[in-house]
Amino acid sequence: MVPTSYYVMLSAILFTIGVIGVLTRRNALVVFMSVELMLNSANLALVAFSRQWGHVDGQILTFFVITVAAAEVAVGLALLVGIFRTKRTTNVDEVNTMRG
Amino acid sequence: MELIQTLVPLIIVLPLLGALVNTFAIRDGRRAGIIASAAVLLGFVLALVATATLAGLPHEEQTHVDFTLWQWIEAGRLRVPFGFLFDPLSAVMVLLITGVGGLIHVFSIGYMAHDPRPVRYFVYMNLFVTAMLLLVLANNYLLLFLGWEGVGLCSYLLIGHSFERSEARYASMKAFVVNRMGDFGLMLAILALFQRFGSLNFGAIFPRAAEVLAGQQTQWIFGPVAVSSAIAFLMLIGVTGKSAQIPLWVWLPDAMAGPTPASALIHAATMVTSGVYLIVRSHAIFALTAPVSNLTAIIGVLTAFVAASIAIGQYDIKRVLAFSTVSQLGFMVAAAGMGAYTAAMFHLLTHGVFKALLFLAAGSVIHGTHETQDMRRMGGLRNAMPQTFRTYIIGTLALAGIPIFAGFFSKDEIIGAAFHGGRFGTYPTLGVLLIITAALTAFYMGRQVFLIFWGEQRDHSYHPHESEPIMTVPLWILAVGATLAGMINFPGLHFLDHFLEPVFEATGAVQEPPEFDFLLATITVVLALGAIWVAYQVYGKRQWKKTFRDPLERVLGVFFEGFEQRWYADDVYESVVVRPFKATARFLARILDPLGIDGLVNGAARLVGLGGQGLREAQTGYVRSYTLVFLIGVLAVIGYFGFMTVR
Repeated sequence: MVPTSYYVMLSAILFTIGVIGVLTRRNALVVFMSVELMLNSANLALVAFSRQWGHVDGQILTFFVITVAAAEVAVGLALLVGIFRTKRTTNVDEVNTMRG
Repeated sequence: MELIQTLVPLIIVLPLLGALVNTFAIRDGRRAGIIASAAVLLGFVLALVATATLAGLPHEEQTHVDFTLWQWIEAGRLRVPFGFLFDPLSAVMVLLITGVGGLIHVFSIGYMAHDPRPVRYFVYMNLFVTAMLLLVLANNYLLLFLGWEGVGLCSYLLIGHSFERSEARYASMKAFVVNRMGDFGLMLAILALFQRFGSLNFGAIFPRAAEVLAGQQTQWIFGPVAVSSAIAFLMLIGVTGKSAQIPLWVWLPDAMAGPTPASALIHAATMVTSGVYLIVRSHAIFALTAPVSNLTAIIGVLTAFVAASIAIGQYDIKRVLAFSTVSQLGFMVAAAGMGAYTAAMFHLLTHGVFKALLFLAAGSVIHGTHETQDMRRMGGLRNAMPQTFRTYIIGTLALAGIPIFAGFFSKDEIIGAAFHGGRFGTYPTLGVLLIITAALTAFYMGRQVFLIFWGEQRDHSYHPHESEPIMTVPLWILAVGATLAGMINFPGLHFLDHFLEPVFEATGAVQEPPEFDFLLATITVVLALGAIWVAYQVYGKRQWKKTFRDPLERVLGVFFEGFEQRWYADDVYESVVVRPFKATARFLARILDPLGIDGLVNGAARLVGLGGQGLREAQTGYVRSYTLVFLIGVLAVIGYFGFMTVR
């Protein structure tokens, strides 16, 4: 059996890649994909722990996360389409009209 | 008893009502004057009835007509009734205020005929009388203080009546500010009384004064002093303000910038007498403290002497009388300080009558010479103004202390008290000074009369004419009063002594009426006559030119300049009080306020603004930078809890 620490390690690597993606990429679509990556790394960790302790709680939580992520993407994509219609861009750095 | 309780509130309400009616319903000056005069004179009639009723009461009940209309203030231990005390002392004061005050009102109808604002004037006059009546009729110190401040306010309004003239504006402010200094002393005295007695009612304080204050001491600046002395001293400060004694006397001579009848009211029947009244009313406290009583006597005598010397060097007809008032008030305060309370009241009464006469007669002179006040420009008025002339002579004789006229008896009683001793011993030095002052009084009054009425008219830029009857009739009534007022305490009969006896009996301060000292009376009369004769030799015999220079100026030299310049008292005030005060105010206004206070307030605002500016920079609008901050925050929190768990 693969030790749980391996899964956690992979989860951490995936999360870090997600964070770096969110922080460095300018295309809103790619940012969203990075967020999905972070969510999935969390799911991976949840499932791994669930298996470790023989509880289903972690697996149930994973479904919640997937649901919420789907809802978030639906809203996020709608916003993105809206922004693209007015701004003709998906570059997040050009959408800074809310600056102080 | 019930009759008095109905009459006394009416006496106060009448002038108040007059003021209200004149304020809201009357535009015509003459009509306003008639209403105002009627209100005060009606009060006089009611006061006569009330006094007669009081005199009919049994001797020991005469000080117990003390009644409350309603509870005025209730706060914790402090309970102040809106109540009045009608005893012989307040009765005498009320008669003087309404009687003399009423005649002054009538005179004003004629005098103010050409004034641009007569209605206003009569409203203030009536308010003045109301406040003064409140002052003398109050049965507690707070209500007395209300009247005390009321007369202060009305004097300010009346002195500044001709506010077009900067002199009047300045004088009214001066009177107001100087009086406030004294009032502060009285206020502290009242607070101290409340602290010791738990009440402000006269009935609760005076009978217990000796017992409560006996042996009590308090810390003063220079060590422990008796509480009675401290309270009396604080009151004395109030007295020096209102009754224009050294050192707070500087406002009164300037107060004559108001209309002349208003000066008569302020100088004779009301306001300035309230200081003397306060001492006599509070004699239960003053009688406990020899040091402060002696100080009061000394201040009174010094004031009398200094003011009389200044009066010699004045050229303004009203200014001479103003300094004469200061001087005569000095006599009264001196008498009150010596413990000769009845003598003080006696002189207060007679002076009220003859000084009102002199001021009104001076007003008549000013009126008849088209606003001339400089005596150097007068001369020879006795033919043009015979009525004014005769009444002026009577007032002068009364003030100079010539027998049968009122001033002689009252002044001699004070001088007698100095030599024969009052409550705290004899005062031969002060007595001698008082005799000299009396002679000076006769001299400056003689100087005034000879300069105004004798010789030929020196300045022909005006045509003198006699005043109309509405002015001369009050003059004659006052002249009769000035002649006969001495009878109320005629030696041997002592009506006033007996009438006031219950007041002093209650506190054990009653004293035997002084025996008439024939030698003393002779000395003062001879000196007074001599002084008038000297005045005649100096001023009455020669024909003066228009460019009149006082012959005393050559004889007395620097002293005369001192008289003329009021012993430089105002200059001293200017450099010691006014200028440092102005400098402090300027420092506060130009340096401390803009830099200190504004700096603090604006600095706080600027600090917040700067903080906001800094935070604003962080709001870039870049999603990624927000996320980075978010991440750092999360890492910090995780790091913190991780650290705490490991530790």
